Amino acid sequence: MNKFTDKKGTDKILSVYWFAILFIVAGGIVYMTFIFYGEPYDVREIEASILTNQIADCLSQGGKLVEEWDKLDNDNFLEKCHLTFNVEDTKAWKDDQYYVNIDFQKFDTGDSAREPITNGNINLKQFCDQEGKNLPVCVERSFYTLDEENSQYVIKILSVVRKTEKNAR
Amino acid sequence: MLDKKAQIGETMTWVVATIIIIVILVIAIVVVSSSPFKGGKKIESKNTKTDLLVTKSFLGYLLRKDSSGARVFEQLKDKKTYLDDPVNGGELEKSNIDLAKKIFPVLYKEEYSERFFLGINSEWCGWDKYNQTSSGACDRSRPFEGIDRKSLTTSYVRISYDRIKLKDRGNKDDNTILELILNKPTKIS
Repeated sequence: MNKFTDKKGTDKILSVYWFAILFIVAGGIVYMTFIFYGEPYDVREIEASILTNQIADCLSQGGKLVEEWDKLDNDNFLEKCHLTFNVEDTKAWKDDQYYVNIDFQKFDTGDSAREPITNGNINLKQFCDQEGKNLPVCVERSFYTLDEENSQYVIKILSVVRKTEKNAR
Repeated sequence: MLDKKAQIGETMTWVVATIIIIVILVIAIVVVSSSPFKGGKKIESKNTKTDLLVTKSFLGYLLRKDSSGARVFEQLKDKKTYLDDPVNGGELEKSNIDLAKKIFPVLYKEEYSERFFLGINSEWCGWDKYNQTSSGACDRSRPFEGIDRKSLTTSYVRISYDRIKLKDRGNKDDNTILELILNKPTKIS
Protein backbone atom coordinates (compact mmCIF):
# COMPACT_ATOMS: atom_id res chain seq x y z
CA MET A 1 0.00 0.00 0.00
CA ASN A 2 1.19 3.48 -0.81
CA LYS A 3 0.99 5.65 2.28
CA PHE A 4 0.79 8.80 0.25
CA THR A 5 -2.33 7.73 -1.59
CA ASP A 6 -4.16 6.83 1.57
CA LYS A 7 -6.26 9.95 2.18
CA LYS A 8 -8.05 8.83 5.34
CA GLY A 9 -5.43 10.27 7.64
CA THR A 10 -5.41 13.55 5.68
CA ASP A 11 -9.23 13.94 5.98
CA LYS A 12 -9.14 13.50 9.76
CA ILE A 13 -6.46 16.16 10.15
CA LEU A 14 -8.44 18.55 7.95
CA SER A 15 -11.63 17.92 9.98
CA VAL A 16 -9.94 19.03 13.19
CA TYR A 17 -8.54 22.01 11.40
CA TRP A 18 -11.98 22.91 10.08
CA PHE A 19 -13.50 22.94 13.54
CA ALA A 20 -10.65 25.06 14.79
CA ILE A 21 -11.40 27.64 12.11
CA LEU A 22 -15.08 27.48 12.99
CA PHE A 23 -14.41 28.23 16.64
CA ILE A 24 -12.05 31.08 15.78
CA VAL A 25 -14.67 32.71 13.56
CA ALA A 26 -17.48 32.10 16.05
CA GLY A 27 -15.38 33.51 18.86
CA GLY A 28 -14.62 36.59 16.84
CA ILE A 29 -18.30 37.20 16.08
CA VAL A 30 -19.28 36.74 19.71
CA TYR A 31 -16.57 39.16 20.79
CA MET A 32 -17.70 41.80 18.29
CA THR A 33 -21.32 41.40 19.34
CA PHE A 34 -20.36 41.72 22.98
CA ILE A 35 -18.39 44.89 22.34
CA PHE A 36 -21.22 46.55 20.43
CA TYR A 37 -24.27 45.53 22.43
CA GLY A 38 -22.42 45.64 25.70
CA GLU A 39 -22.46 49.45 25.55
CA PRO A 40 -25.38 50.86 27.54
CA TYR A 41 -27.91 53.35 26.22
CA ASP A 42 -27.59 56.70 27.98
CA VAL A 43 -31.08 57.92 28.80
CA ARG A 44 -30.18 60.32 31.55
CA GLU A 45 -30.86 63.44 29.49
CA ILE A 46 -34.37 62.25 28.80
CA GLU A 47 -34.77 61.32 32.45
CA ALA A 48 -33.64 64.78 33.57
CA SER A 49 -35.99 66.41 31.03
CA ILE A 50 -38.92 64.37 32.29
CA LEU A 51 -38.07 65.37 35.86
CA THR A 52 -37.97 69.02 34.78
CA ASN A 53 -41.35 68.72 33.07
CA GLN A 54 -42.89 67.09 36.13
CA ILE A 55 -41.63 69.88 38.36
CA ALA A 56 -42.91 72.51 35.93
CA ASP A 57 -46.31 70.84 35.92
CA CYS A 58 -46.31 70.83 39.70
CA LEU A 59 -45.50 74.52 39.95
CA SER A 60 -47.58 75.97 37.15
CA GLN A 61 -51.02 75.13 35.86
CA GLY A 62 -52.94 76.96 33.17
CA GLY A 63 -50.19 79.52 32.67
CA LYS A 64 -50.13 80.55 36.34
CA LEU A 65 -48.32 79.45 39.46
CA VAL A 66 -50.32 77.16 41.69
CA GLU A 67 -51.91 78.67 44.76
CA GLU A 68 -49.46 77.37 47.35
CA TRP A 69 -46.30 77.85 45.34
CA ASP A 70 -44.80 80.07 48.00
CA LYS A 71 -45.46 77.47 50.70
CA LEU A 72 -43.32 74.82 49.03
CA ASP A 73 -39.99 74.22 50.69
CA ASN A 74 -37.17 71.66 50.70
CA ASP A 75 -38.99 69.40 53.14
CA ASN A 76 -42.39 69.10 51.52
CA PHE A 77 -41.48 69.64 47.87
CA LEU A 78 -41.13 65.99 46.88
CA GLU A 79 -44.32 65.00 48.62
CA LYS A 80 -46.38 67.86 47.21
CA CYS A 81 -45.15 67.22 43.69
CA HIS A 82 -45.50 63.44 43.95
CA LEU A 83 -41.85 62.78 43.26
CA THR A 84 -39.41 60.34 44.75
CA PHE A 85 -35.64 60.18 44.50
CA ASN A 86 -35.45 56.57 45.69
CA VAL A 87 -33.47 54.32 43.38
CA GLU A 88 -32.96 50.60 43.11
CA ASP A 89 -30.50 48.86 45.45
CA THR A 90 -27.68 48.40 43.02
CA LYS A 91 -24.15 49.61 42.39
CA ALA A 92 -23.92 50.85 45.99
CA TRP A 93 -26.43 53.61 45.27
CA LYS A 94 -27.91 55.24 48.34
CA ASP A 95 -30.80 57.28 46.93
CA ASP A 96 -28.26 59.96 45.97
CA GLN A 97 -28.55 59.85 42.21
CA TYR A 98 -30.70 62.95 41.69
CA TYR A 99 -30.54 66.65 42.44
CA VAL A 100 -32.94 69.48 41.66
CA ASN A 101 -32.69 73.20 42.20
CA ILE A 102 -35.57 75.57 41.50
CA ASP A 103 -35.05 79.32 41.32
CA PHE A 104 -37.95 81.76 41.34
CA GLN A 105 -36.99 85.05 39.72
CA LYS A 106 -38.96 88.19 39.07
CA PHE A 107 -39.21 88.64 35.34
CA ASP A 108 -38.64 92.40 35.24
CA THR A 109 -35.66 92.65 37.56
CA GLY A 110 -34.19 89.15 37.69
CA ASP A 111 -34.19 89.34 41.49
CA SER A 112 -35.07 86.31 43.50
CA ALA A 113 -38.77 86.17 44.37
CA ARG A 114 -38.38 83.65 47.17
CA GLU A 115 -36.00 81.07 48.59
CA PRO A 116 -34.90 78.52 46.01
CA ILE A 117 -36.00 74.93 46.47
CA THR A 118 -33.31 72.26 46.45
CA ASN A 119 -33.53 68.54 46.96
CA GLY A 120 -31.34 65.51 46.46
CA ASN A 121 -27.58 65.05 46.44
CA ILE A 122 -26.15 68.57 46.34
CA ASN A 123 -22.68 67.25 45.45
CA LEU A 124 -23.90 66.50 41.95
CA LYS A 125 -24.27 70.19 41.12
CA GLN A 126 -20.53 70.76 40.89
CA PHE A 127 -20.27 68.44 37.88
CA CYS A 128 -22.54 70.58 35.72
CA ASP A 129 -19.69 72.83 34.59
CA GLN A 130 -17.32 69.98 33.84
CA GLU A 131 -16.88 68.01 30.66
CA GLY A 132 -15.80 64.47 30.38
CA LYS A 133 -16.91 60.89 30.47
CA ASN A 134 -18.79 59.25 33.29
CA LEU A 135 -20.16 62.48 34.72
CA PRO A 136 -23.72 63.25 35.84
CA VAL A 137 -26.02 64.79 33.27
CA CYS A 138 -27.44 68.25 33.98
CA VAL A 139 -30.47 69.83 32.33
CA GLU A 140 -31.33 73.44 33.11
CA ARG A 141 -34.45 75.00 31.64
CA SER A 142 -36.69 77.96 32.36
CA PHE A 143 -40.23 79.05 31.76
CA TYR A 144 -42.29 82.22 32.09
CA THR A 145 -45.37 82.31 34.27
CA LEU A 146 -47.67 84.59 36.23
CA ASP A 147 -49.24 84.53 39.65
CA GLU A 148 -52.80 85.47 40.54
CA GLU A 149 -51.86 89.13 40.85
CA ASN A 150 -50.51 89.18 37.28
CA SER A 151 -46.92 89.43 38.51
CA GLN A 152 -44.42 87.89 36.13
CA TYR A 153 -41.86 85.26 37.05
CA VAL A 154 -39.17 83.16 35.44
CA ILE A 155 -38.80 79.74 37.00
CA LYS A 156 -35.39 78.11 36.48
CA ILE A 157 -35.23 74.37 37.04
CA LEU A 158 -31.92 72.51 37.24
CA SER A 159 -32.22 68.72 37.17
CA VAL A 160 -29.19 66.46 37.62
CA VAL A 161 -29.12 62.70 37.14
CA ARG A 162 -26.07 60.63 38.02
CA LYS A 163 -26.52 56.87 37.43
CA THR A 164 -23.23 56.65 35.56
CA GLU A 165 -22.77 52.95 36.27
CA LYS A 166 -25.82 52.07 34.22
CA ASN A 167 -25.64 54.66 31.47
CA ALA A 168 -21.98 55.30 30.73
CA ARG A 169 -18.76 53.32 30.56
CA MET B 1 5.06 9.95 -4.72
CA LEU B 2 3.49 11.29 -7.88
CA ASP B 3 0.25 12.21 -6.01
CA LYS B 4 1.86 14.60 -3.57
CA LYS B 5 0.88 17.71 -5.55
CA ALA B 6 -2.87 17.38 -4.96
CA GLN B 7 -2.45 16.74 -1.24
CA ILE B 8 -0.06 19.63 -0.73
CA GLY B 9 -2.35 21.92 -2.80
CA GLU B 10 -5.32 21.17 -0.58
CA THR B 11 -3.38 21.92 2.56
CA MET B 12 -2.05 25.18 1.17
CA THR B 13 -5.59 26.25 0.31
CA TRP B 14 -6.61 25.92 3.94
CA VAL B 15 -3.54 27.76 5.18
CA VAL B 16 -4.25 30.71 2.91
CA ALA B 17 -7.95 30.61 3.86
CA THR B 18 -7.05 30.64 7.53
CA ILE B 19 -4.81 33.66 7.14
CA ILE B 20 -7.50 35.54 5.20
CA ILE B 21 -10.19 34.66 7.76
CA ILE B 22 -8.04 35.80 10.67
CA VAL B 23 -7.11 39.07 8.93
CA ILE B 24 -10.77 39.84 8.19
CA LEU B 25 -11.74 39.03 11.76
CA VAL B 26 -9.04 41.28 13.17
CA ILE B 27 -10.14 44.15 10.92
CA ALA B 28 -13.77 43.67 11.97
CA ILE B 29 -12.86 43.60 15.65
CA VAL B 30 -10.78 46.75 15.32
CA VAL B 31 -13.62 48.56 13.52
CA VAL B 32 -16.19 47.54 16.13
CA SER B 33 -13.85 48.56 18.91
CA SER B 34 -13.29 52.00 17.44
CA SER B 35 -14.99 55.21 18.61
CA PRO B 36 -18.26 55.19 16.55
CA PHE B 37 -19.35 52.11 18.37
CA LYS B 38 -17.90 52.66 21.80
CA GLY B 39 -18.53 55.52 24.21
CA GLY B 40 -22.15 54.84 24.93
CA LYS B 41 -25.26 55.38 22.88
CA LYS B 42 -26.82 58.65 23.96
CA ILE B 43 -30.47 59.26 23.38
CA GLU B 44 -31.39 62.86 23.10
CA SER B 45 -34.75 64.28 23.94
CA LYS B 46 -35.02 67.02 21.29
CA ASN B 47 -36.81 65.24 18.50
CA THR B 48 -40.30 66.43 19.24
CA LYS B 49 -42.58 69.04 17.80
CA THR B 50 -43.78 70.20 21.22
CA ASP B 51 -42.07 71.56 24.30
CA LEU B 52 -43.91 71.66 27.61
CA LEU B 53 -41.97 74.58 29.06
CA VAL B 54 -42.40 76.67 25.92
CA THR B 55 -46.11 75.85 26.01
CA LYS B 56 -46.36 77.06 29.60
CA SER B 57 -44.47 80.21 28.74
CA PHE B 58 -46.72 80.90 25.77
CA LEU B 59 -49.84 80.41 27.87
CA GLY B 60 -48.51 82.73 30.54
CA TYR B 61 -47.74 85.30 27.85
CA LEU B 62 -51.25 85.14 26.44
CA LEU B 63 -52.83 85.49 29.87
CA ARG B 64 -50.82 88.49 30.94
CA LYS B 65 -52.73 91.71 31.37
CA ASP B 66 -51.14 94.95 30.32
CA SER B 67 -51.62 98.33 31.97
CA SER B 68 -55.08 98.69 30.44
CA GLY B 69 -56.22 95.44 32.03
CA ALA B 70 -56.64 93.58 28.75
CA ARG B 71 -54.97 90.23 28.28
CA VAL B 72 -52.59 89.75 25.37
CA PHE B 73 -54.85 87.01 24.07
CA GLU B 74 -57.88 89.31 23.97
CA GLN B 75 -55.85 91.95 22.18
CA LEU B 76 -54.75 89.40 19.60
CA LYS B 77 -58.33 88.43 18.95
CA ASP B 78 -59.27 92.04 18.35
CA LYS B 79 -56.64 92.46 15.66
CA LYS B 80 -57.27 92.10 11.99
CA THR B 81 -54.77 89.90 10.26
CA TYR B 82 -52.80 91.11 7.32
CA LEU B 83 -54.95 89.07 5.02
CA ASP B 84 -58.07 90.94 6.09
CA ASP B 85 -56.46 94.33 6.14
CA PRO B 86 -53.24 94.53 4.10
CA VAL B 87 -52.72 98.17 5.06
CA ASN B 88 -53.21 98.16 8.81
CA GLY B 89 -53.62 94.51 9.63
CA GLY B 90 -51.09 92.29 11.36
CA GLU B 91 -50.06 94.89 13.92
CA LEU B 92 -49.83 94.21 17.61
CA GLU B 93 -49.12 96.65 20.42
CA LYS B 94 -45.44 97.31 20.82
CA SER B 95 -45.53 96.39 24.49
CA ASN B 96 -46.83 92.93 23.64
CA ILE B 97 -44.25 92.49 20.92
CA ASP B 98 -41.48 93.57 23.25
CA LEU B 99 -42.69 91.15 25.89
CA ALA B 100 -42.61 88.28 23.41
CA LYS B 101 -39.10 89.23 22.40
CA LYS B 102 -38.00 89.25 26.04
CA ILE B 103 -39.48 85.83 26.71
CA PHE B 104 -38.98 83.43 23.85
CA PRO B 105 -35.64 84.29 22.23
CA VAL B 106 -34.10 84.93 25.65
CA LEU B 107 -35.32 82.02 27.76
CA TYR B 108 -34.80 79.48 25.01
CA LYS B 109 -31.73 80.82 23.25
CA GLU B 110 -29.78 77.63 23.89
CA GLU B 111 -32.32 75.27 22.43
CA TYR B 112 -33.76 77.39 19.65
CA SER B 113 -32.58 80.13 17.35
CA GLU B 114 -33.69 83.74 17.86
CA ARG B 115 -36.07 83.47 14.94
CA PHE B 116 -39.65 82.81 15.93
CA PHE B 117 -43.13 83.20 14.50
CA LEU B 118 -46.11 84.61 16.41
CA GLY B 119 -49.26 85.14 14.46
CA ILE B 120 -52.45 83.86 12.97
CA ASN B 121 -52.45 81.05 10.48
CA SER B 122 -55.66 80.60 8.54
CA GLU B 123 -56.21 77.34 6.78
CA TRP B 124 -58.98 78.80 4.69
CA CYS B 125 -56.46 80.65 2.60
CA GLY B 126 -55.01 77.38 1.47
CA TRP B 127 -52.11 76.84 3.83
CA ASP B 128 -51.23 73.18 3.85
CA LYS B 129 -49.93 72.71 7.34
CA TYR B 130 -48.72 69.21 6.67
CA ASN B 131 -46.67 69.94 3.59
CA GLN B 132 -45.80 73.46 4.66
CA THR B 133 -46.80 74.97 1.35
CA SER B 134 -49.15 77.83 0.65
CA SER B 135 -51.55 78.87 -2.01
CA GLY B 136 -51.39 82.25 -3.68
CA ALA B 137 -53.60 83.93 -1.05
CA CYS B 138 -51.21 83.06 1.78
CA ASP B 139 -48.20 84.46 0.06
CA ARG B 140 -49.20 87.87 1.35
CA SER B 141 -49.63 86.68 4.95
CA ARG B 142 -47.53 88.28 7.65
CA PRO B 143 -47.14 87.40 11.30
CA PHE B 144 -47.83 89.75 14.18
CA GLU B 145 -44.20 89.37 15.01
CA GLY B 146 -41.27 87.35 13.91
CA ILE B 147 -40.22 85.71 10.74
CA ASP B 148 -42.29 84.85 7.72
CA ARG B 149 -43.76 81.43 8.29
CA LYS B 150 -42.56 80.23 4.90
CA SER B 151 -38.95 80.76 5.93
CA LEU B 152 -39.06 78.35 8.86
CA THR B 153 -36.54 75.56 8.88
CA THR B 154 -37.79 72.00 8.74
CA SER B 155 -37.15 71.51 12.44
CA TYR B 156 -39.24 73.53 14.88
CA VAL B 157 -41.52 73.50 17.90
CA ARG B 158 -45.08 74.68 17.34
CA ILE B 159 -47.66 75.60 19.97
CA SER B 160 -51.05 76.43 18.52
CA TYR B 161 -54.59 77.19 19.60
CA ASP B 162 -57.26 76.34 17.04
CA ARG B 163 -60.54 78.06 16.17
CA ILE B 164 -59.59 81.43 17.54
CA LYS B 165 -62.60 83.70 17.25
CA LEU B 166 -61.14 86.83 15.75
CA LYS B 167 -63.19 89.96 15.84
CA ASP B 168 -65.17 90.66 12.66
CA ARG B 169 -64.02 87.42 11.10
CA GLY B 170 -67.41 85.73 10.85
CA ASN B 171 -67.37 82.22 9.47
CA LYS B 172 -63.68 82.36 8.77
CA ASP B 173 -62.94 81.86 12.47
CA ASP B 174 -63.38 78.10 12.28
CA ASN B 175 -60.06 77.65 10.56
CA THR B 176 -58.11 80.30 12.43
CA ILE B 177 -55.08 79.15 14.39
CA LEU B 178 -53.00 81.23 16.79
CA GLU B 179 -49.43 79.99 16.63
CA LEU B 180 -46.09 80.36 18.27
CA ILE B 181 -43.31 78.62 16.40
CA LEU B 182 -39.73 78.43 17.61
CA ASN B 183 -37.10 77.42 15.10
CA LYS B 184 -34.49 74.88 16.00
CA PRO B 185 -31.02 75.83 14.85
CA THR B 186 -30.02 74.38 11.51
CA LYS B 187 -27.31 71.76 12.01
CA ILE B 188 -24.15 72.49 10.12
CA SER B 189 -22.73 69.27 8.68
